[in-house]
Amino acid sequence: MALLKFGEKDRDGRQKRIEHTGRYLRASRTGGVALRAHVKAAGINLTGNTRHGVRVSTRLAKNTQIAMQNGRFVLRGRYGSDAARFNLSKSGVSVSTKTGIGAINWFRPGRSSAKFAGVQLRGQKAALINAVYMLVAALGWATRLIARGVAALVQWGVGAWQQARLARERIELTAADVAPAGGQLLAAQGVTPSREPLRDLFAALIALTALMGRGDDSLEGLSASVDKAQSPFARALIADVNVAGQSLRAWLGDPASSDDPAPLLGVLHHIAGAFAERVDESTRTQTVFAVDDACLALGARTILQDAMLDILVESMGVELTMAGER
Amino acid sequence: MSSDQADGLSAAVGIYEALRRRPDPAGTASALHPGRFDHSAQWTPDLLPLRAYEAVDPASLGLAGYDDFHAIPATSLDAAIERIIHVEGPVHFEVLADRLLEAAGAGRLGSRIRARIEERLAVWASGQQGGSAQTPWAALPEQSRRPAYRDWRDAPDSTRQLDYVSDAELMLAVYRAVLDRECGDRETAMNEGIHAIGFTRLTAGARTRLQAPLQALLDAGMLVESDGVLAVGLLEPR
Repeated sequence: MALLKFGEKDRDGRQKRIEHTGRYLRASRTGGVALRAHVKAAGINLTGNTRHGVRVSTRLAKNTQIAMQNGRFVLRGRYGSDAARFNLSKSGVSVSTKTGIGAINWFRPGRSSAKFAGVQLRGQKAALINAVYMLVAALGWATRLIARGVAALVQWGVGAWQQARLARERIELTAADVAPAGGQLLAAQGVTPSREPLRDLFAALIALTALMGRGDDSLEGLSASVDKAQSPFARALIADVNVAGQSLRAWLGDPASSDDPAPLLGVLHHIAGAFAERVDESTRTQTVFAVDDACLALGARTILQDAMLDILVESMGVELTMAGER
Repeated sequence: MSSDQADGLSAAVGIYEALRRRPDPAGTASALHPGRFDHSAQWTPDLLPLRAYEAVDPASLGLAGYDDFHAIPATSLDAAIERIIHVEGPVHFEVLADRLLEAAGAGRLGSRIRARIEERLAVWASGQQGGSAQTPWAALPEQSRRPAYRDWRDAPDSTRQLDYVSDAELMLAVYRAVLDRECGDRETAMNEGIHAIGFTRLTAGARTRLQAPLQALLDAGMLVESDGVLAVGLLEPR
């Protein structure tokens, strides 16, 4: 045991009260030096103390004690939690709350306690210290609350700003918006998508979305990596995509030189619609995912490709369900 | 571009293959792929599923009621020949003659009847742009260029002979065996090829017969051979 309990911590992690407590001897700043002895028999506690006399006590109920000390009757009870502890005595009931440095008694502030650096204080001083402590704690709590509020506000503001920026960058066009531009362009070229072979419509969907949607010209580079061991259909698809891409570029011009995505999206809408009319629902759904895979195979999707996939889903009549939705 | 990128196209390739293997009668325009339907003289594989051999019903040819085969008017005979070729081409001369004889109720293919059929067949061919009446097979240009992948098990018994299958159709049988079944060597490709169209035995005669179609496929690059293993080189002629 350390000298006078220096360095010893109580259950709250604070320095224990500075005192000496031996088997029979206790010495403290306020209690002075006293000898004491204690025996217990038949549920009765008998305590003798050279400074406080003889005390006889017993437990009346849980947390309730009665005693006789120097001819005075003592009744003590403590109930409840740290936040609101009820104290019972002959003079009545009071309520106290445990604080970081002690306890403050709300009904009788003079019975508050405080401990600072192992020095135990009681009475009005303790009440004042507790009040100051609680004021500082309240200020700290309020500061943290305000800081959290400000952080949440900043976070919300940044999120809103980012969403607004994305909304500005996103191409918010529906199939109905782009259909006229695409229809006019195809009509001017004398193209009727519903009469085109399905293989060419499919190749055109890939050419439009995966290639033109990111400003690429062809899949020639990819065809070099498709070796003889791979499906001959892979080589044939790449060839068809390149030819369809050439035709589409001839009709549309260079998409990169135009600020208006409506003609490109409109052509995509009409080609996707013609394709969807002649295949079943499963093929339509698989096509959407296959086109998306083809886009991602060439790199991260562009904003234009995001818009193209939105148009593709709408024009193909595919209903996408997010994971977890019914 | 990496193989990962090629893998990213695998789903698209699956859909594309399914589209190529199904009929698409509505697809008649070529705006997206100029020259798509330009008829080439080169042999082109039919990728559609195997379908039943369709034979002409002789009774429907309108040649009955004549006492003599030579009494049949040339116009009627020409119409019957044209119909048989349209339905069964590439059709072997013996098969075509068999249909005509049965339709006319004639007994056997004598030299005079043969000569008349050959004459009318030559007339038909002269009126066809690119029509083929080279013995022993007669076919429309499209039928020679792109023969149908048909199941000869459904042909009449007298027709179901490997000798009556044209070289163009045998090329298709071998090609489809390599494409659909990934047959490794020549022997397996030939065996699987004729088995798929209804001929169960790869006899010595059949093996000899199939050499030319197989070599034609290799010469055209439609099939490629590496270390004795056959693989599809092209889906369409260059």
